Amino acid sequence: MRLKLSNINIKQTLRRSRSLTLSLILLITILFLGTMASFLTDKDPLKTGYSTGLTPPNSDFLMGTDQLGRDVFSWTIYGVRTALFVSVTSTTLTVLTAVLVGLFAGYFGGKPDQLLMRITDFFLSIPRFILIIFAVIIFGPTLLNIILILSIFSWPSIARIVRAEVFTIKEREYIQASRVIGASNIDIMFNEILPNVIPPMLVASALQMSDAILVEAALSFLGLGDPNVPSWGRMLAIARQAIYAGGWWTLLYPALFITISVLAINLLADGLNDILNPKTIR
Amino acid sequence: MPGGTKEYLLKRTVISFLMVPAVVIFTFFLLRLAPGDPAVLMAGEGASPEFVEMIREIYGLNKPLHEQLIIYLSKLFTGDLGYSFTFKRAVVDVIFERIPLTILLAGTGALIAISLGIFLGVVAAIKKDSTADNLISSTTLVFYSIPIFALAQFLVLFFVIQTRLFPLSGYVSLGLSWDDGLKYVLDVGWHLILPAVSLALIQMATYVKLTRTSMIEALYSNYIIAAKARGLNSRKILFKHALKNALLPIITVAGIQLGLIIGGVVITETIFSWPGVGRLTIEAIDARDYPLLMGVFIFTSISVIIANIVTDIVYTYIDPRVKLR
Repeated sequence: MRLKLSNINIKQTLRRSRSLTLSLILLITILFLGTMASFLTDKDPLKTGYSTGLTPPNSDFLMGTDQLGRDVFSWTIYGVRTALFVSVTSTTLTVLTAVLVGLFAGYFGGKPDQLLMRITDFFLSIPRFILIIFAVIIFGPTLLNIILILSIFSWPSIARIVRAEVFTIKEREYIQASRVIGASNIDIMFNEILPNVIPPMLVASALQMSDAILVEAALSFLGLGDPNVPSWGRMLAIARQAIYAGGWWTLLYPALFITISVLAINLLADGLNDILNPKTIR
Repeated sequence: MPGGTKEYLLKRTVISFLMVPAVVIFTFFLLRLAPGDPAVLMAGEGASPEFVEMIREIYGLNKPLHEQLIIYLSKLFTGDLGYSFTFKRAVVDVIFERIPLTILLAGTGALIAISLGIFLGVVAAIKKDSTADNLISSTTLVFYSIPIFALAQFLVLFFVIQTRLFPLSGYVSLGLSWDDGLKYVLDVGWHLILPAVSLALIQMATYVKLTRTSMIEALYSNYIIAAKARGLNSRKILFKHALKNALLPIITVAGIQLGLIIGGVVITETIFSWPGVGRLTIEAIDARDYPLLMGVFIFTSISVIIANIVTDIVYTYIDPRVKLR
């Protein structure tokens, strides 16, 4: 039986899956703060000198300022945009590549499939984070480069999932049937197989999104992020000195935002998993 | 062992080791994609023109690309990873010096994560759907979502800055050496706790979830029900039968985790100034020491490859049901 996403009753699902409900509440809050950033604050996140030195949270600076007088609140809510931009674009690129490659390799098998397996073997043998660091240093830490590098080094493992999925689906009877009635390979791949690959890909995409947020922040923390955008990772790097001068707010708020975002997306993946695999042990 | 397993393992091992030259060739081309003269990159910023020429000569950087690759590979084969201009020593020596401390840190972290993870996973499985179960699952999920560079800093804030329970950085207090015996070991242990706990907390969720799922599965399986029917005492059933089988997937995951945890090690070592290979990576980045960075990259890749092979072999030996293609 084919699982259609449109058949899922939203109200019933939300009542059943608590993680999905919690995830949506958190995500909507974060998204709201990110999109409304320019209405919520009139301070430029990157501008220094709003105050002289570390200032604790007060009515003027809701989350305080850092050593150079940057407004932590502005930095943190504009940081939502950076994090989401990187994660959404890189995940889209990653998943599109993975689905296309996985679909072709799984459907046709043979040489292209062998090649895909060796490429994934290769990427599974190298520590991805070090590879990403290496590539960012070589090509330069711009937002575009970070997105491309993240996508290039992330698609193989997801392509492997797609391939395995396609392998089992292509032997099913209804696929054989459509072949008999004269459907072309492209028809079968995109109209019959692809819709079945989408549900497991939703979970993989969610996990890829939270991973992208963490990697971008880690790069920024190490001083390898794009210096022209406010990133939670960079504020956490600033916090390394600030906390010794009592500036806990430079650590707490960006850490809270990044954790809530990642948590919400992980919960989303959990919730999707519950819906798609109702039989899984919970 | 079932027939064919040996051949499979041999094939896997060969393919895995073929990945080593693949990694090397990959880094070789990656470095050549970088803008600028590779000889200048490898000699380091501020190097004298004579030194740049010397590097060009040694690595044959004025020769065609395929010859350069052959020179590079043959040097590597003899264990020559190049010369680190920041340390003014051979890259191999610099890396090997840092390995023991990284193994100590990552090993302790993994040990805490696995033992605590299995314990909490078993508790959650036995008390499925209870408050304890929910508490364990949600707490570990939160730790799973906190980036290690935030978590480690919270630990620093509470245990170093506020309460001064643990030392700030490094792996041993100044002036202590092996000659101080137990005092030295205890001091290293004292320095080890915070970074190891940081690493452990972020990996723990995986082990808790895995143990919980496979324990629940095991507890409801026919052979456990049969054991209960035969009147075996429940503690014996739990530990001897259920847990033993539930532990199998942990081994595979522990092997895979090594590759994933390397990023965490880099960041933890940086925050706690733990002088291991991870900290070395950042030092190499800050100085743009490309030979050192390539060395670290090749070294960590080889470790991951070996870990994957060992995981495969161990897994086939302890689980006779595993039939590999």
